[in-house]
Amino acid sequence: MVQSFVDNRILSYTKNIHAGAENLDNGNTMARVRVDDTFLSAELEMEVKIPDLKIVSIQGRIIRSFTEECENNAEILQRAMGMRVGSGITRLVKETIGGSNGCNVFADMIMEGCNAVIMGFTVDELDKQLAAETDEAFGQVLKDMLENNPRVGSCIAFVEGNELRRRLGV
Amino acid sequence: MFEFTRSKTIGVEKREDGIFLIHGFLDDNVYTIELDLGVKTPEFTIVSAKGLMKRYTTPECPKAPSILDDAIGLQIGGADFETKIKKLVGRGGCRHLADLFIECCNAVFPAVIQTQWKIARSNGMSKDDFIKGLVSDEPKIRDRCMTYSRESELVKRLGVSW
Repeated sequence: MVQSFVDNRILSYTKNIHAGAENLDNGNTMARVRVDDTFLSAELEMEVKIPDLKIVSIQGRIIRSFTEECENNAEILQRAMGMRVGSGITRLVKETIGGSNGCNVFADMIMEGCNAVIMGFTVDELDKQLAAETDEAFGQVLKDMLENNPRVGSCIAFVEGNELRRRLGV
Repeated sequence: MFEFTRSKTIGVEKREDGIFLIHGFLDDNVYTIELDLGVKTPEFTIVSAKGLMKRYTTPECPKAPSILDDAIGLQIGGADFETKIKKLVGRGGCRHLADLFIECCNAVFPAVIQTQWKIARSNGMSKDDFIKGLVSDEPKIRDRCMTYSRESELVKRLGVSW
């Protein structure tokens, strides 16, 4: 039987976020973030000094928004200059860049950029660790990861007494 | 060359009886994660949550979505909502899954606004009048950011006060 109707499942809202981090020739890391959703489009670029992890340059713009006023808020980003990508930055960014005197879109984008910078370091490390070619070697990698990582309780993999820990004798 | 890239895609569809379905997808150098949430409005209560870890780093990671059952019944919003999710879904499961979860939850309110705006626009309402009504009737909007603060040019121009 031919279907006589189509269930309307058109999306009422969409959002795409892209964040990336790349190493620059001067030794610093550049994070780039782009957000496109039903209401707005925005981009951000911030340079983080290595090894201090301080934001040394930042610029961005809101290209499209529901209210034109949002497109004039880019100077807010300069408040992030000198912030250190590390402990406490989430609250600092929310309070300084976001909130009633700021722009939550830019605050979220800075956090995406910070995450990309940190994950950039993690990828390098994981890439080396996960290159193990045998089950035994991979087991050793996981064991080292669990034994040497201070993040006990930070996620399901690091929960004390879980199956993986028991199996590896950690 | 990018050392790390992450893409997050969120789509929200409105279903019957005030239920919004949110589909989230996260893909980066390390992880691929999918998440489907159901949220009932106007209460903004999570009524369903299913996740799938497709690419990960340890054999424990695929178990992380099982923690999502504990998120059913939670109400989106409030000052400590993100902290609660980071603890429940992040520490108890996976912090990248929690990141996607928060992103999906944050998409519900704009989806509701978009649904209202679509109806208002088809009825001939101007954007200014729609925003005026929104700021007047919706406490979540007021002082949310500098554009919707009581000191903003927009709010003053529209003649709204609180």
